[in-house]
Amino acid sequence: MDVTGFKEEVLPLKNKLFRFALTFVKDEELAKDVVQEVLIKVWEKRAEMVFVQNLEAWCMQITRNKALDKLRSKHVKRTDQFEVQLDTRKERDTPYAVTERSQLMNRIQGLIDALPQRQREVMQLRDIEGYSYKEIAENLDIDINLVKTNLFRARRKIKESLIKVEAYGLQAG
Amino acid sequence: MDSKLDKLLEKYWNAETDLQEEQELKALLKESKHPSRENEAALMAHYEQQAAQVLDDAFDSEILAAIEKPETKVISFSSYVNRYASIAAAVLVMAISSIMFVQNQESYTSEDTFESPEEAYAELKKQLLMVSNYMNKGNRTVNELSTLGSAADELSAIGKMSSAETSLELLEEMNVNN
Repeated sequence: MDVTGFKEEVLPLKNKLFRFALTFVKDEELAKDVVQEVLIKVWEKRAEMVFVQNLEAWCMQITRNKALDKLRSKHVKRTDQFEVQLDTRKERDTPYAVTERSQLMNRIQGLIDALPQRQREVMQLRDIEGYSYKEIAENLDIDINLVKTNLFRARRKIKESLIKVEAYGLQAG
Repeated sequence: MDSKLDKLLEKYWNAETDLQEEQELKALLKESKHPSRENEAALMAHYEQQAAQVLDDAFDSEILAAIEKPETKVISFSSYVNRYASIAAAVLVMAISSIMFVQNQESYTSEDTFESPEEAYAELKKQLLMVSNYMNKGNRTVNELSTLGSAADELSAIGKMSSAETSLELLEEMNVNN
């Protein structure tokens, strides 16, 4: 693969990879670093690409591994995330700055973040990226039945949490 | 309209919808203004908002700059070094050892070589004389050692004197008895 091939086949995946990395690291700058590292690694391993059947799934798997490595190595970043959460809470508490819909959307983000990692990955790839079950199975290198089970559990949890939100209001735990 | 939305929602929560039905559901919830569907509408709006997150335009140029110029050179150089470092080290060791071997050979020949055969003969003669001189000295020492053997004979003669003394004592006793 030459630079032109890289521009045409690999570079267009950057935003999907960025959003996928974001589900792990939850920080835009960190997610950007992850995608940079992934794309450079793909370029370095371009000689091996002839053996790769699904380029997109290969990139997704590298992204997942890199993002998890990042999470493990960056203990300091947890503090940063905590600060970000505090900041958004401040925003949410300001009545004039945000609408009720965006408050609800923030709440939903919190519910999704609270899901187990595998369920969150599957939900991201299905509901945000619009992949088929087969594609998700390839991207995550897991069985298709595991994809269905995780999606079912993730949606059920979100549904139950939304019912609670409806019953007790936005401030309810 | 609402019944279709309800059916799709039920299928969605049970993870039974296909991709097309999910697109339809998103479109219906976007249009729906019903307060009872606010949570689901917010969920779909959240998905839409997440899907709109993209990297900035500067990202492409950063990546292309990284892969096109210095990185590739560094990578190719390091892989080149890694591949040939062991071979180069082996060749270097062999070259150094062969140079040292040749130098040692040369030093031996220059030490033992004389400019003319006469000189060499004279030197050899001198060395042989020296050796024979040392051998003569050795012979003398061995002769001195052999005199030690005669000393032992003398000692045995002294021993005989003591036995003669005892026989003399016996004779003296005989005289006393007589």
